[in-house]
Amino acid sequence: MMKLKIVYFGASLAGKSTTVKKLYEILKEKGIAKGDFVSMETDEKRTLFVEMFLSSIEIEGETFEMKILTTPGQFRLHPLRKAIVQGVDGLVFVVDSHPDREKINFLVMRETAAVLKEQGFDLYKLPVVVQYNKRDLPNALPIDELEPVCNPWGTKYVESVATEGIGVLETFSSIVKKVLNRYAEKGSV
Amino acid sequence: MELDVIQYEIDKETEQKLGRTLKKFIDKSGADFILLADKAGRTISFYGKNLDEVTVEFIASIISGLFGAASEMAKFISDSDEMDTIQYETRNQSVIVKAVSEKFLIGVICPKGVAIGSVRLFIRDLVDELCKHFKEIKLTPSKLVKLTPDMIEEKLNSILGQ
Repeated sequence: MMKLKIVYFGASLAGKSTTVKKLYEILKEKGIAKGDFVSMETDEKRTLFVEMFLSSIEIEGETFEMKILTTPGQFRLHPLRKAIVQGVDGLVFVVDSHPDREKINFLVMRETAAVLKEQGFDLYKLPVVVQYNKRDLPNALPIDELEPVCNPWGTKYVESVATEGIGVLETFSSIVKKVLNRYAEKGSV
Repeated sequence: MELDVIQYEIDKETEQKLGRTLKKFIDKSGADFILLADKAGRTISFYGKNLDEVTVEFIASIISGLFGAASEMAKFISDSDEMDTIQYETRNQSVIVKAVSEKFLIGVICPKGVAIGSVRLFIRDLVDELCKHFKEIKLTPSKLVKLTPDMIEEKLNSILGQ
């Protein structure tokens, strides 16, 4: 069995918790979420520490157990983010498409890169998928404008409306593929 | 440094030794649960209390997060400091989380009636023993999946949908 750790990060209120909760519901329905959805929130329903659940899939006799976690988005909780990204195998960068949040999206990405660097990892070499959330906003920034700022990897992106579950599964599927492909043997074995 | 799915490999024999060591600790110390995990929160082994694997996996994440957060606090106070142990109490339990070598952690849960000082002494012996076992763990540069990218794509599409 292989254990994978997938972390959703991004600015506060970008939709990380909504995404992960929706994902849990979708995977639960498919019978591949294990146990409950664990959430540590403040009284204002903001993520205090972490939200997480487990999912398990089997491919060709190999079991992949995935732990899906969110980081708290609020800047004051930065030290807790550091604790959560330890040993991460893949990241989803949840971007808020609202025009007022453009700068904060970038700052969170830069800060996450610094945290990973401190732990000996290079954010730009990790498997990452960018999820542009809140695409239903009438004034959502165009993807062309967000891409140069929020996707320095030039990696796959998914447009989402997490509150409606749109793009949630596609994002997850993309990050799992990216993580597993890293470990797939070259050629066929 | 590149990330790996798991950067170490525990063979069956070492796994059994680790399991026996944890059991011995529970038998001697009066603690009712012990968990061995890596610092990323992946469960390696556990013994005691009748908890299911999913719950244990959540506990592993939480103790690794708590330990990591406490380490950050220690660094605010002194850059050169290093986290070793955290201990806290609930109404009915005492919980100790301790680093074992650079990569791993143990989490111990004891009922309130048990003398915590003696548990900590047993933990000291336990850590020594675990460190000996850990010397047998092979560090692996990467773990390969016996699947091609096309197979992964196809299988995931069938499990998760396109």
